[in-house]
Amino acid sequence: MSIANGDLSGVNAESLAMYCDLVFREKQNEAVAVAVEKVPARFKCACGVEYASGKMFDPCPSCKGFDRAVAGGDRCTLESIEVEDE
Amino acid sequence: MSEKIRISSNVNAANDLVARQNRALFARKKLPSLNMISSPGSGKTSVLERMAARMGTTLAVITGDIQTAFDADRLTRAGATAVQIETGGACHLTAAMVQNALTSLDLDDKKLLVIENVGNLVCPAAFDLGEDKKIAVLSVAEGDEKPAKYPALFTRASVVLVNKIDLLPYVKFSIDRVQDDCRKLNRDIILFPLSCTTGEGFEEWMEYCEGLER
Repeated sequence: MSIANGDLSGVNAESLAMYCDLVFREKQNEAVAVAVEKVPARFKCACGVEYASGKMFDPCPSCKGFDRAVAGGDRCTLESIEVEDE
Repeated sequence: MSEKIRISSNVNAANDLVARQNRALFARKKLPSLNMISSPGSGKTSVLERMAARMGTTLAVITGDIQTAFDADRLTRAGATAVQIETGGACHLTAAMVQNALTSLDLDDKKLLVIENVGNLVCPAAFDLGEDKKIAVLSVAEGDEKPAKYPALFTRASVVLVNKIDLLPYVKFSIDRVQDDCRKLNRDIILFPLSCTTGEGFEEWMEYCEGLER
């Protein structure tokens, strides 16, 4: 399973991976490999600049302001699954 | 041989689907809806008691706790129409819990629905319940660094009720710092400083509630 987890999603990807593994072992009697891609928070500033940041209190790198909206990194998505042919 | 299948689905998709159903119901009933989130003890229920004194049964409340119906009982006594969700251990409400509670709540003739979440400054912010707006409650006794420490809620909230301002002479708390940090996280956020003990600030908060789009 391939998961993309945004910094602002509120989802703890390690816990998610652990539970996916538990569920697969119980239901399918098989292990599952979970790959998690970390997606940084993205902001769109009123000055027009879009930037990624790991910290919520980093200002816009261009105008140093905080007049901005969240533009990404606020979701946790199951991107794809890879299945073995029997 | 293995095959890769693209999914691209939000892991919260099951919750979000039920949240959309709740939202559609509130829209059909022309009922504004708020999801009230805070730490335990910040005064969510006390705020709602004061609102109930003004609105009576036209205020509908779904209130969540791990255990007990203390809060629904308090709010019913205060005059509101209230139902309790006991999560049994879950630290936040989900859209499905709210949908289930809605089956025992008559939404006709109501002016406002408030979902009082489980006291917790973290997880409740991540779950859409179908509400129009999230309302954060922060009491001055908790400290003014909370928006900086728990940014997820304050990034998503439309309003912060800064509660217990009658205690300001006794605690180290800067409303300016809270406002500054909140605005950095969320430029559109509105603060209402208020006190459930003295009633200060309630006029402004009630005016905001009465002005919510139906």
